[in-house]
Amino acid sequence: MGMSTLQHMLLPVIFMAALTQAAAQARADSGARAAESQQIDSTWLKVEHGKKKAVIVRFELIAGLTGLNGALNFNGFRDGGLTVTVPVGSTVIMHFRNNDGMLPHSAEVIADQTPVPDGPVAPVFARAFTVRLAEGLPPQGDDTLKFVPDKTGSYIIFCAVPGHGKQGMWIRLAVADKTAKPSVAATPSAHS
Amino acid sequence: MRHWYLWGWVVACVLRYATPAFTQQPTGGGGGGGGAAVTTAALEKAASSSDWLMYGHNYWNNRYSPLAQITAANVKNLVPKFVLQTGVERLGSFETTPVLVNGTMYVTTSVTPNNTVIAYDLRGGGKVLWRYEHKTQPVSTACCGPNNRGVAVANGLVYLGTLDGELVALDQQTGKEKWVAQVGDPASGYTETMAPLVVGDKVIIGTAGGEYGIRGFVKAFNAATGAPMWTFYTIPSPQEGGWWGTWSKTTPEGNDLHRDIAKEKSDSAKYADAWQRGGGGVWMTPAYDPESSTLFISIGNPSPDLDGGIRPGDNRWTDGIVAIDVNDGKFKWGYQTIPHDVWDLDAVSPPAVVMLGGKKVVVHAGKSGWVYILDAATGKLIRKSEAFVPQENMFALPTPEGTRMLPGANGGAEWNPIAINPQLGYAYVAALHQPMYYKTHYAAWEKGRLWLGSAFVAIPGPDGAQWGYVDAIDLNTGKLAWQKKTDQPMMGGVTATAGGVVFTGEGNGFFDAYDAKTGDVLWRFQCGAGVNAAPAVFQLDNDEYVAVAAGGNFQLSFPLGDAVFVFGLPK
Repeated sequence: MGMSTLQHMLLPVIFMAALTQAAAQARADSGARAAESQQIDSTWLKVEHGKKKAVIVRFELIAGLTGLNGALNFNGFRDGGLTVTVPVGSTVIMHFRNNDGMLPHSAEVIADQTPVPDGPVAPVFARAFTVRLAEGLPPQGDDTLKFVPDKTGSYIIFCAVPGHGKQGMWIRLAVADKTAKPSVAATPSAHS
Repeated sequence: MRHWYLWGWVVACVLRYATPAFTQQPTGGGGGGGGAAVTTAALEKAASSSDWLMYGHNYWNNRYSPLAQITAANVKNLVPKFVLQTGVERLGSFETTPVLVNGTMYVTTSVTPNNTVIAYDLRGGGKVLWRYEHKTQPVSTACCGPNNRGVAVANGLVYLGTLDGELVALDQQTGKEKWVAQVGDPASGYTETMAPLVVGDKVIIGTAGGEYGIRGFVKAFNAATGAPMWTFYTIPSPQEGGWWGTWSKTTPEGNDLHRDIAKEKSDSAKYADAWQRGGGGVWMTPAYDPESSTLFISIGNPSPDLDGGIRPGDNRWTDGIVAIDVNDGKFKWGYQTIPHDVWDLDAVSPPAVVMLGGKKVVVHAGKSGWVYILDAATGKLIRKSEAFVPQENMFALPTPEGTRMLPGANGGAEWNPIAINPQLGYAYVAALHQPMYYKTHYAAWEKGRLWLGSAFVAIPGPDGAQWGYVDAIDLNTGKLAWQKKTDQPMMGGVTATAGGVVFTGEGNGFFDAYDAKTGDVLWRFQCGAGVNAAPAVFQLDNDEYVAVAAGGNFQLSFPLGDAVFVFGLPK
């Protein structure tokens, strides 16, 4: 998938997300209560350039950042509601931390699929997973996923503790062409 | 006055425990491949049995074995006699208490992926007599990990609650299914993890699911056929008086709950249907008093856990100890430890019954960090213990930013069953110290989705350091008789014996014996995986043993395993 294609796909998606969010807010205002919407923190994503202009993308992947979905979320998003975009061939370093005080969590990058698997499956990129995938890492536990995405396409980052991904604990990873600028953006959630 | 109480204790104990002799064949009849049949009479006399016939040892649920061969003096000599590996995948918590019937040990495993029951022949060197594997349908509504705490055995059948919401009866001799009854819908959050209880012609079972917006219940099924007999809903419908209660601003003991009663009342019409998804699971085995035909149940948290704004009222009978009639499931009395809980402080540790100063009382260790002692006839509070874990900022309301309060949402006492030494008048509690921030986060209910209305956020650094305790509470005074700190939060439960020993395990793999009177650690054994289950004590061919599952805990990330250890004295 080329950069321009991806951008063309993402722009309407982001627009629709904004519309959906506005509509949801309107519904909430007329209703009883609304969940607060999660803001994207610009410090989550950092881009560095190594030797020979190699791109290094660092991302803070935080399990259970908020109470959304009973804390079954990454960075406050669930069901694909957040997309991290990286260029193919870059070095991606995701620092995973479990912020949930109650449950263990893990993270793994896998092929985009519906439904999300019940538990660990083969990662789509070498080393694109935390240790103890099924058991999860305890509250405040951390690990680093360091991998090189070598194929463009759409992937998901999900918690492989049995049941968690299926309960909505997943976000998206878009691997765009080499010239793509790394980014993180809210996208439509598969959960409506 | 205290001496008078103690003498009352002694007399009651002598009457209760000295009458029937400990025999090797206390269960009546049977024999064969799956062990002797357990008669109704045997269950009623389980307190004096040298077997371990049900989850809490006996109907009073006191986890007190009358066996006294292993003593405070010789427990240091214990050695492993069996290490029985179940062979299931190590992915869930191993929380079973084995049931022992005349040399046959019935063990349930964590549900990874299927509920499994294994019957071991201990006389035959630990040979597997049969193994039942339930084809458990995938369940994504087991919030805190797949687990099972054990079986009930009676009248030739073995009863198992399954994670996918079924109650299964197995032939005790063969492990073959005799009947299956659907207790609740797992897709809506109704799951079974507790050990059922058999009383007469009924099998009693509750439901887990307080994190999914269930309406909790206890049900009775015909023990022979699986036909439903009655249902007691823990959340009263409006026709049954409703779940609003008395709009109490305090706990029954007077602790300020910081409720905005006026707002709750004004919101009550808007949330008039909240009771239908009000939570109140019953996920641990009740106590039972045959004399009064009364079941005593501990009831879990309201749903959603921390967001009380959408469920006005006291949310009866969540966080309550409730007495119901075993014959028809009718309500007798209730004691709600925390009306309108917004901290996930379930009443979950199983209640136990004990004679105290000539009065029959119900004892419950709360997530709140207190032990409650209630009159078994009326439910009136007799005494609340001093705190058995650190308490801080108690009942401060959760906020979107997070509120630090202790105990954390696991307690206090989690599901960990307590044990009682009636001779000393002590209750033993395995407890947790887990500082957390309580955060609110509004969420609408969705079928089968985790519904906490909140997050529990761990506190990093020294301020968030976690540990555990083994506590002995003097029931006559409510004071701590002794308290021992452990390296990690305690999750598993306690068992006491007439030999003056208290057994419990730790997440780091140690299985420990304490002196019942002083709390001195008398013996330890490293089992190689978290010992996060309540032990069973039994006699086989004149020798006393203690059995415990060592398979860790998923939720607390204690090392997982699949072994049941059986310890005894060397020959």
